[in-house]
Amino acid sequence: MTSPDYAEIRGRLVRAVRQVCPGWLRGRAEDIVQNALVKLLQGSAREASTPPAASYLWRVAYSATVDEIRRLRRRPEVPWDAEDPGRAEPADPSGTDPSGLDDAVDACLRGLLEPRRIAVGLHLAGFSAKEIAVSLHWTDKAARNLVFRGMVDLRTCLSGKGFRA
Amino acid sequence: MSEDCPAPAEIWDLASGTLDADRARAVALHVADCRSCREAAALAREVLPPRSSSFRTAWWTAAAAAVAAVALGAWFWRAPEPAVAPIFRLDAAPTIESLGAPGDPVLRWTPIEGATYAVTLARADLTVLEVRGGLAVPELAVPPGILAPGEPLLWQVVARTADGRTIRSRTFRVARE
Repeated sequence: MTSPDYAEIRGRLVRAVRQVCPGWLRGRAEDIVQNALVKLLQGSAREASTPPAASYLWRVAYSATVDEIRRLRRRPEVPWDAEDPGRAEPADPSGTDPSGLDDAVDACLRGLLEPRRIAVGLHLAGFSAKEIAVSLHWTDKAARNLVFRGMVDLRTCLSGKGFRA
Repeated sequence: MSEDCPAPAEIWDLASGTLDADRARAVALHVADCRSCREAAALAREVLPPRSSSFRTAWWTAAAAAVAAVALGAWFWRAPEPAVAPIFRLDAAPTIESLGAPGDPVLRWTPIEGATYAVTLARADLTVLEVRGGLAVPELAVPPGILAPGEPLLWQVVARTADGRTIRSRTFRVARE
């Protein structure tokens, strides 16, 4: 990778990471870019002489960001130098839902029939029925039905646990 | 999150519809069972670049259908989504609406506190003309000469909030003078 290539690719990665990175993790954006560059350099699928496609850079930026989120969640302990604000781990806003709804949703999801569980799981992640169909190679109609029936099951299960829609 | 979580790249590929059916099913099943991976899937779904995903193409197709429906004077149009209660969706978020006046050369939309915006401009035939990102204010001057006089412009806003959520507006259509 020549120097101008590197500068251009790094700039594109910085922009991609900035878009992908959750707000609470922005302080780690530079580390994520560095990790993404390492992934890029280690990528064996890419020809050294051709610049990586934009879609590939986005995929690498996303992977580096999720890796960093997972790393932080695996390391809840406080480092020795945490008193240095510049070195402190960013605060992950995800945590225990005091209402218990998150845990109830997880428990109810595990009780659904597998295809409905898959459809509702992706639906809860924001996927439309069309997007679920594309991701799973299902027909649109199958995806819609599975989301609908799965959500009915989920509502019934949550109602049984005392949660009302 | 567990040790056997799929690689982020696989979740990305699931969201972009590029995994084969068997692997997609396995990864999606894990995503359904793992809250952390559901969050990762939601992130992938939100940030997939428009041209790298077949369902983004579907999004533009849906936008074209909506424009055509308006042109034909259709009185009723409803998306064929199942009637599910939105209270359980994790992405409940404020909506973004156009605030611009007809003929105004500046596109304006409802602000979201602390958000940055990206705007996609497209022709009525859905050819993407420009994507402007990193906007700190909820407005964008339409670049002069981007369209022929009288040619309509389609535009859509994606807001990234301070807490990392992404909120996507519907597609707006404006007639240019």
